Amino acid sequence: MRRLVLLAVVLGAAAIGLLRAETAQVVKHTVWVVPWDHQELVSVQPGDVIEVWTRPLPVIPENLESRFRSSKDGRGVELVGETLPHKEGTMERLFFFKAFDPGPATLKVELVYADGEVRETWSYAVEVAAPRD
Amino acid sequence: MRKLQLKRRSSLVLIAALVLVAVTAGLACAATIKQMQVRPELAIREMPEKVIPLPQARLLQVKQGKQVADVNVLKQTYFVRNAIPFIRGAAGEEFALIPLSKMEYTPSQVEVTLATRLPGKVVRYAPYINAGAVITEIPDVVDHRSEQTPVKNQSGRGTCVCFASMAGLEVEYGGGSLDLSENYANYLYMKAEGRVCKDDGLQTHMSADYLTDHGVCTESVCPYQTSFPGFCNNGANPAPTQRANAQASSPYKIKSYQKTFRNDSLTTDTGVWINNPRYLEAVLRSGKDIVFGTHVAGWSYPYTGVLDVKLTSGGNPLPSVGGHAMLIVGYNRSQEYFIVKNSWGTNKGQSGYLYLSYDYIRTYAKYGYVINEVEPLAIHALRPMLRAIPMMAPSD
Repeated sequence: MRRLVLLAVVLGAAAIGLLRAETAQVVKHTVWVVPWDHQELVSVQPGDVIEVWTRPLPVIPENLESRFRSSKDGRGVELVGETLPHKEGTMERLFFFKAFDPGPATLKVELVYADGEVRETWSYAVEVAAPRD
Repeated sequence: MRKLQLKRRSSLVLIAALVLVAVTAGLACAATIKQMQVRPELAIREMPEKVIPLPQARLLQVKQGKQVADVNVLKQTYFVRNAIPFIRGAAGEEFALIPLSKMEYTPSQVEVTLATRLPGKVVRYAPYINAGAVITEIPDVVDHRSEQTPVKNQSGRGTCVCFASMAGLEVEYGGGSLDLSENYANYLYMKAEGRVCKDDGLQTHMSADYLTDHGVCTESVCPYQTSFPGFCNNGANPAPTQRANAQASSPYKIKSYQKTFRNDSLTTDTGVWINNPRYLEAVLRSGKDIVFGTHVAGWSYPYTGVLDVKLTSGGNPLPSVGGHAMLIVGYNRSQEYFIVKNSWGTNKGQSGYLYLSYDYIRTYAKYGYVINEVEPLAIHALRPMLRAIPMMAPSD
């Protein structure tokens, strides 16, 4: 009986050790992938990342001078990065926004000609919720 | 009584020690799990360069800096695979011979890489190998344009991978007037990727896998559609009847290929990498073309000159605006550019061909593949040609 108790204590301690080590260093956040034609409100938590995909344009001479650019309204969200998808044939972009503070925000993506004229615009409404306890 | 107390105390100490050990072990275990999760990537990056010894039996007869006595040995063991000359080692391992970079080629200057580990690190054995019997001289210009099928136009779709891969396949089947279906290729690629036909774009090298699994038909069976929604009707593209016809007559297929990827840490033109112009030259010299994917940056209309790397005000190469797939069909060594078959029609570039500088390839090339062998055509594919042969009148 005593040995069983001892074993239980040891295993419990090991489990506590594992749990503490995991929870002390890992924080889970969600990455929300938003396709270019998305229209509904995107509800996120502080710390979440919103990955906005632009409309894919074919890589052809008519499009080579055009560029995608992004902006945002609202203080709780910041642009943290952008990249290209790993494929050939299209020239879309991926914009990464991170949610920091609660409140509403709007993400905007524009397709711009070389001379600065805006060709197309897309907007995405975001609501950053209050942090959960 | 005292003995019992002592025994209890020692038991408590033992338990405490065990608990401490268990907690420490738990923590260590968790740390190890974390390390293991990260390790695969680290392991690949930190893999030390392995020096591959050449087979002793061959080296015994080779003398440094002199005309080697065992040319015959090299001649006997030399062969070409994936467009690269090889020798075979005593244990059956294969060594690729590649001209050294940034050097005027002389017969004693080659690099050796273990072929079975491709793509891998290149190990230099310049003093030991004489490949004079293998490669005698390097032509300044190689141009396969005359062997190609006509330049096509992908119009307003992002189907460059279909056009580049079909161009590569057409020339492997003899070129001429052969016209393979990009529309059907796009259907196959998107289906294999689990995507719908209105999706565009693909990693160029994946087309080699898909064309090995499935054959394609000719343009007449499944013609190209230039605009949306003509080319994509709710994912049912090509139309069911057309698709059935195409599936029944699609013998054009890759049998074997060699993929090549990018090495970002390359500082000299060495090794079997897509961003090594010397490797691409060697492939082209062997008579093969390269289907490849590249970043597009700083191209100026009408794309007639040599497209070179352009720099930002900060001195870095211009960022990519997107990926494009084409077919490398030749090179000019002294002027340092590659000749590339594009799919934007004949009024762009040099009658549809672009010139990309060696530096452009070093900076922006992503990956590609060489078609080693295609599936032989079955007799039913030859029927149209057989029909064209006039029947002989029966003799009396």
